[in-house]
Amino acid sequence: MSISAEQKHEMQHRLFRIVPPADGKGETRNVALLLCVIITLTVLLVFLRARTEMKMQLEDWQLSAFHHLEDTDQAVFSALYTASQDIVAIHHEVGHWPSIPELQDYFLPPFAKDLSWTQWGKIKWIKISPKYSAAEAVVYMGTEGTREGQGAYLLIISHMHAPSADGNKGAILESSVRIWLNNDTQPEPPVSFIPDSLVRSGWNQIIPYSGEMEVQRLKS
Amino acid sequence: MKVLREHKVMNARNYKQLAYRIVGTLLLICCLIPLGKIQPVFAAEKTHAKLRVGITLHPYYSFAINIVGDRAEVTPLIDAGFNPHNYVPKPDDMKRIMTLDALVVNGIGHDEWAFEILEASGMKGKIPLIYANNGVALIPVAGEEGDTKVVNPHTFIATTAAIQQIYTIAKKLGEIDPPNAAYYSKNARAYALRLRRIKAEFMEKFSTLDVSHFRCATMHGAYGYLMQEFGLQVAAVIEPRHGVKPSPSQLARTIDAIKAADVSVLFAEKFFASKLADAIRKATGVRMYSFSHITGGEYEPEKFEREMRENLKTLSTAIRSVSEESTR
Repeated sequence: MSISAEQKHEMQHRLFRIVPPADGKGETRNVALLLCVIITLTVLLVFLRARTEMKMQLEDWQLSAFHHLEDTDQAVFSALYTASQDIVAIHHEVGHWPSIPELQDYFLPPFAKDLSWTQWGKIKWIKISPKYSAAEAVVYMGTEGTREGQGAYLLIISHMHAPSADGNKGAILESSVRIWLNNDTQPEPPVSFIPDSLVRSGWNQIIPYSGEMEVQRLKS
Repeated sequence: MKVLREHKVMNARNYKQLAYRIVGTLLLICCLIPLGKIQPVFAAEKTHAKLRVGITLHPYYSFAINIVGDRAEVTPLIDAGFNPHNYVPKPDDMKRIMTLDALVVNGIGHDEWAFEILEASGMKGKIPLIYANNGVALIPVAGEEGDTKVVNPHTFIATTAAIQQIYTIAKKLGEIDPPNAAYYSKNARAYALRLRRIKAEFMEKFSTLDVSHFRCATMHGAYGYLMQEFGLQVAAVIEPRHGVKPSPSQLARTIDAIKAADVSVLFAEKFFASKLADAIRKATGVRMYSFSHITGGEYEPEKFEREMRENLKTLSTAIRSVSEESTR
């Protein structure tokens, strides 16, 4: 059986195949592609996992207790913030807003004259009874703090009682606690306690950064 | 004949598909149970008559039991003896959480494992969570470098912040268990007054002492709230996070800060011996005292009062030693 030249060439082609040396181009491209995918995924995951910044929406007349206050003002604010709950409870029990000596009998900071009172600048507290038409309210004002850079403080507590058929006070419907700071340590006692008036007299409302806000931030 | 063979082949295929479907469904159920999509039938049933309140940290046990008295049960979510800073959830925790009617949590970074337990047991969204810190005005960790302020989650190592949490817990429990709301509220106020009396007792002792020269640093950023309520400030915190040692450069900066702020006292943590604290004491000459973190040992109703009293005693000793030295 004779083999033609054409068939011989084809057989040679089948038996011998020239394999080009690997230049690594494909491998480099694949590794680069894989790296791109990994980096993109990492950036995406970091972005998705990143917790939102601790941000508070404040008006220009408001201050954040967490971000803007110095140590002493922050400590007095924290004490007032907690004391407000006790004051409401005492009012509910005894039927009147407690006086400063009464608050001191309950060891309530920042009114009680103890070490913290000394450390917080020996603030002088007075109780003011504002006349509101619909709500019951009380104001405690602290002035003349001796610590450097310290301000004056206002704790305003007000609430509304539900109407009661027997003429007595009904349950508390709404309760509001507002704490204000004035850079002047000896401001005049405000005549009006509505926000506009307080702002015009140099007062700034202090807004707490509460656990509730932090929980929301951690969840988001 | 051919038709019969094809029919047999079809049947075999159907059985195979059916088997795949069964295995697939079982696998899906196994996957969904930990995600909480399906409630396992063997889940512990709530058969108790009284409200069962779970807590995550030791102080919350003291708070809750003093609020509810004998009208509810208080159950720690994890067994005693574990460090809550690096706790890893265990299967028993999952079983326990399924028996609870409510769970009291810190929620701002000190008990994140509780949320893992909730998730893994499928109880997320099924039991009411009482975020003890909801009403607390938070403060940043003292001595942080730069402008970044980090929330201090140790609100339970102080009297004022503790009282705020006690009121929040009592209010929320009252909402869950209205017939006992007034009782819980009354107990909360009585407990708060007891805590204030402990603080007042020490405040009286402090009143004769000169604290103008008192500057302190702490190993752990846990005592900011405690110091704040006494009008004292923490000049530096050594550990960037609990149990995390500072890098050599961080440590060098902290030692410089301690020297620059004229710090005379370093508060370490009880039950956690630290070579680092000894090294800082040697480098700066500060006196060393130890506070309780109130998150170790057994769960007891009086634990918070007892350990806070010990902490205040320690603080009193430290202030006295600085005061006496400054008057010499």
